[in-house]
Amino acid sequence: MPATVQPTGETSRAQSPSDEQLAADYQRSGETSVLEELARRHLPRVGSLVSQIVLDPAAAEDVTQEVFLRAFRQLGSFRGKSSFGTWLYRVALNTAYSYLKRRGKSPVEYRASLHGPDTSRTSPEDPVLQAELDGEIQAALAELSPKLRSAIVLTSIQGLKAAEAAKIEGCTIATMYWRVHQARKLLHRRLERYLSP
Amino acid sequence: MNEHKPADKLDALLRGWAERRQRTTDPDTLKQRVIAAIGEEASQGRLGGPRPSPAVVDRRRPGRNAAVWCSLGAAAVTVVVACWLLLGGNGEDVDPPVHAGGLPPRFAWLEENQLGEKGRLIRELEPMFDDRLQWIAETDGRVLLEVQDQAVGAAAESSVPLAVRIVVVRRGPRQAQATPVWAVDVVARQERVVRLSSESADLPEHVELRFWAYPVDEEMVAVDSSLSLSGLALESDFSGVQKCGEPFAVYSAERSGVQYEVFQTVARLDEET
Repeated sequence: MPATVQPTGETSRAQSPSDEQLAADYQRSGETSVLEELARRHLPRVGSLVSQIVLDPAAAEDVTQEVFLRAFRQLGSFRGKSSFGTWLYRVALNTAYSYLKRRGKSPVEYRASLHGPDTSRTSPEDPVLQAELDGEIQAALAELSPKLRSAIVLTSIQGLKAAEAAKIEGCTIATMYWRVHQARKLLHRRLERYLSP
Repeated sequence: MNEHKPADKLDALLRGWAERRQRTTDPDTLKQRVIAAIGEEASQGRLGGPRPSPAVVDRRRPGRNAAVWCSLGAAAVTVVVACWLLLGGNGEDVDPPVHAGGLPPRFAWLEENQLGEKGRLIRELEPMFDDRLQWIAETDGRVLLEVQDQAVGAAAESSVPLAVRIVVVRRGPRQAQATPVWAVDVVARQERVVRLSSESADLPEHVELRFWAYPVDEEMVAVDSSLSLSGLALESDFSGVQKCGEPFAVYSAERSGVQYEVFQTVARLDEET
């Protein structure tokens, strides 16, 4: 089943109002509890998306908070043309891009080893080896431009279809295909030694 | 978190990284923090509230309307400049190139029965070569194979085998139909680099072919390819996305009234074909 931008909150949704109904409720009533419910529903996915784009855990929490505040300040501009999840993801990406622009340097502090992985340790369970691999992946993602990074994060990690990712980014599907293609090519080159058999 | 199974090793690597990363964060702390911030913003009246009624342009105040029109004009100029910058200034945001070409000739298509045969061929040959088969090519009546020293992990279920056809066609000034002058069929798993040259394969013409493809979804495939045929002074270079199964003109040139085109077709060889 294709993934779509749906909340992953623990609340059962069978009986509860949709995101779009909640957004409309807030615009009518101004009840803060409605916003809190929307935040609870979407926090897990928005938090992970922001973290994967920003690549700095401490900053990711600040940016995630900013995403919800920004979205709720602009809730009046949500007209239901796309799903609330898609709209919120768009706000999340734009907020993350603004942060990266402000920061203006590589978002990763880890420096990958120039000598490649330590082949004396072979167990994939080895925490040192695992940390080294994670550092290499993070460094490889950090080398991508934010747009290429979000393309690979949305499709390969978040599991969205290219069409859905394009809608979130506000670009054409062809552009999204192109970004995914470029990002994969660069990551393959950068992580070659972990991908070879 | 994800509903898709990883398409390949790179996806698996990235998803593993994301999951381990997720485990190190405390969702409850973040949730409390965000909820508290929402409450604080709301108490200060910064989150807006019920939607105001739509704005009405006051027709009795021409000065104000002029200002509105000036703002709209400035916004339009900004949009035009932004589009121009997007299309010309930043390569990564540009749509993939669309090459104009004539209608693809019949022989550029990969027929259903040909796809079936190619699918069977790769599935039979891979185990024969102990998973060391890199690619299979057929050109000029010869079948060429590249076999690696070590297993290449070809038979991984998630790695899609692809059939590729590249055809060079020529049409003279008084010819209604194009005729093929060179063609190659390749079968390889996704993201396998195919390098075919007359030096390595002892082909009669001086040929250099490089090919790499990745199916971005069921319908589209991203391709990097380059073809050089020195006998025809032809140099084709393509990097873009094309529709699975449909021939795509990646090169077109006219010399002394003779039209040359290169059509490239990439089709998935999923199990059912």
